[in-house]
Amino acid sequence: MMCEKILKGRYVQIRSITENDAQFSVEIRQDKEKNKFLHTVEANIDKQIAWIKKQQNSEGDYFFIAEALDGKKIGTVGIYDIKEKTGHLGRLLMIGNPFQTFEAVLLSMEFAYNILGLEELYGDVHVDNTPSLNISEAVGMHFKEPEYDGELDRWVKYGIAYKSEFPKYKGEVEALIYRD
Amino acid sequence: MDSLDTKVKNIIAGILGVSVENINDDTAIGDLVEWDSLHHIHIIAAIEKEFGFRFTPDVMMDLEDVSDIVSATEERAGK
Repeated sequence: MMCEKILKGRYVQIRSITENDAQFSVEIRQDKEKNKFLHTVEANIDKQIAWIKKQQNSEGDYFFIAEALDGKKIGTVGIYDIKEKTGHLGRLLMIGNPFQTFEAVLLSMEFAYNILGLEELYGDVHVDNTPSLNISEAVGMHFKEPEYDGELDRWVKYGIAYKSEFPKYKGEVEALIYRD
Repeated sequence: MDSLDTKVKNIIAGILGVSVENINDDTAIGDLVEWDSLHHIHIIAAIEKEFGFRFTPDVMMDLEDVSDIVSATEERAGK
């Protein structure tokens, strides 16, 4: 689905992906270090364009491109698998700096809670992906003990974040990234 | 009395929970598993608190390695 609005912060803005982002969204998935905890994606632009077209019409699925304020594309983040008042927070892949990364995550969560009206967001993170676990916990994700994901042959931590707790975590992160 | 360079490295090592011997001028975010996005923003906040100033957003966004942080701190706080 497409979010018609561009969601703006101080360091980044996030907007729905378009076919013009196919090259970027493929390239960012080819970075071996950034993607070591994610499944591989074929570097095929035509297939990516087809995937984006399908995603744009997929009910309960929002995929954002994060851009620096100068327009440079610096990452992706998504809210998907939306069912009633719940959704999944993921597809986080950023090449920007940490301040931009945290703000992009906060903007996507604000979209989920305040525009879509969701009450809970789920996440799953590879057990060894400490940077992603730390980001997720900082914005309010509570993780359970690791579980084995047989489908993808990996150990993951499943987590849940609550709208009711978001103002507290958002305030803590904003204090760190804005330092007003 | 510790130099500014040493103070900055000690702060970084303290936030990351590693020995200061692991921190050299070229050490950058991502080089150590401990230096991730969350710890990076804590490092910047700790340095600002220690030296009593705020980096401007433009400067802050470009701080990637120890030498960047030391140089920006010297410029802002004075040697």
